[in-house]
Amino acid sequence: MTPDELNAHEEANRELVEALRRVSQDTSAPPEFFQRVMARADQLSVPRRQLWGWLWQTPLWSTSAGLRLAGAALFVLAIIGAIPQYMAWINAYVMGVPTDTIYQARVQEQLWKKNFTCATQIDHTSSNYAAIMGEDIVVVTWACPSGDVLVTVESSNERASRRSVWVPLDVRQPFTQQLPRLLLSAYADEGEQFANKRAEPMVEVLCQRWLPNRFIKRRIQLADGDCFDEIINPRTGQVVQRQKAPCDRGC
Amino acid sequence: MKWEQLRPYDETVRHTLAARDFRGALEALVRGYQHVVVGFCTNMLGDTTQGEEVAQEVFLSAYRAMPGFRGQASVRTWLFAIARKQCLKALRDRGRRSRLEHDQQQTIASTVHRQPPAAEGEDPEVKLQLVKQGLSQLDKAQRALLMMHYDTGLPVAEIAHILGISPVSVRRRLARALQRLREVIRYDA
Repeated sequence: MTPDELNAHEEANRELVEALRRVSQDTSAPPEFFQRVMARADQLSVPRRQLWGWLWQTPLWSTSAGLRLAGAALFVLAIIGAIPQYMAWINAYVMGVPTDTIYQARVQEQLWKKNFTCATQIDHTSSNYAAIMGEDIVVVTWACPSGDVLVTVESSNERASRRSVWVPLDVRQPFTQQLPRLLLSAYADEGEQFANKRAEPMVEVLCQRWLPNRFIKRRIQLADGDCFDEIINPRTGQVVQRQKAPCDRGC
Repeated sequence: MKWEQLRPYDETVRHTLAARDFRGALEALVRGYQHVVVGFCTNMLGDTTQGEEVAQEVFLSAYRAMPGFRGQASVRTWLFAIARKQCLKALRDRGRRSRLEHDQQQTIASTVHRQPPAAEGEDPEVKLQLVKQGLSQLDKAQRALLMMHYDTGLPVAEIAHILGISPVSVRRRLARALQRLREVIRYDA
């Protein structure tokens, strides 16, 4: 509607408009109104900016019931639509991995379950075993009958020197792109400190078992004859705890 | 409404808000706008006592909201957005609590009908009473719209800002509300 059209409408209802303009002419605030407001304001705390204050100031809440309903429906839909994201955050927290690697973490956990027995049979004399040894890093691959390959990267860091990542047989493009990142992140913060030590390749897994918290405990023997108990997070392949242990098969 | 008279108050409010002197801003706001807001709320609610109480709430809400006022809208637009919201809220609360509104409409109607008989449009006072009665029977939103534009004198653009709709929609709603008011008054007469 244009201003002229409204003017015409007002002209047609002139006496109404004139009366409307006088509706409050006899109404005014009582003399003590100012003092009352200021007295009440003094009882309030000093106003502060509220984090969500802007939300309630949007005109949406003051318009028609239909719009309010639509706004509420939109809000509910937005909340429901975000549930997968909330679940992802919760899962990531529970699994101890970043949100964007939940899929890879699940795949890794599944592959650990699938090839658990095979992973205990690592034998450096077998044709399934291959190792590339460098100054600071050793990369060991162990192929299982399922076709999945366990890639273990070891560094000279004695604190958490090992990281094992499964490469599934039916490997897909996104996973292979993820793999170098998984491997590299294992050494992002530990390369410098142990740069002058030589990495020791693992020779044998003496025993291995699942822990109640879905971690894996295994006892390994290194090339120098030392044995260690390691606790592995199967979702990241990282050794989260490592300590010296006797060289028997009692996990 | 002579808005020019309120301009110095607007300036004071803006300056004091800029200086984060919220109490000073409230003082200027109440001094400048108390009569306008009390008038608006009283006629929105059809009750002097309740209108004054809600008007107090309007200023206190404005006081609380001061840290969030960025000056994007004029002081009066901002204040009337709060006033409209508070009055509609009070009307909703009252509607929930009792049928008071209905009783008041009856009171106003009986008052009007006790006026000496006069042809519609002849006596301005009778016409004013008829309009007040008609307003009380309108939809709350329509009442607020007519009050804001004609009684308070807020321009269409500012009402559009308050309601978050286009000026074209505001004009359409105004025309519809006027039409509805006329129908209500005719029906009563």
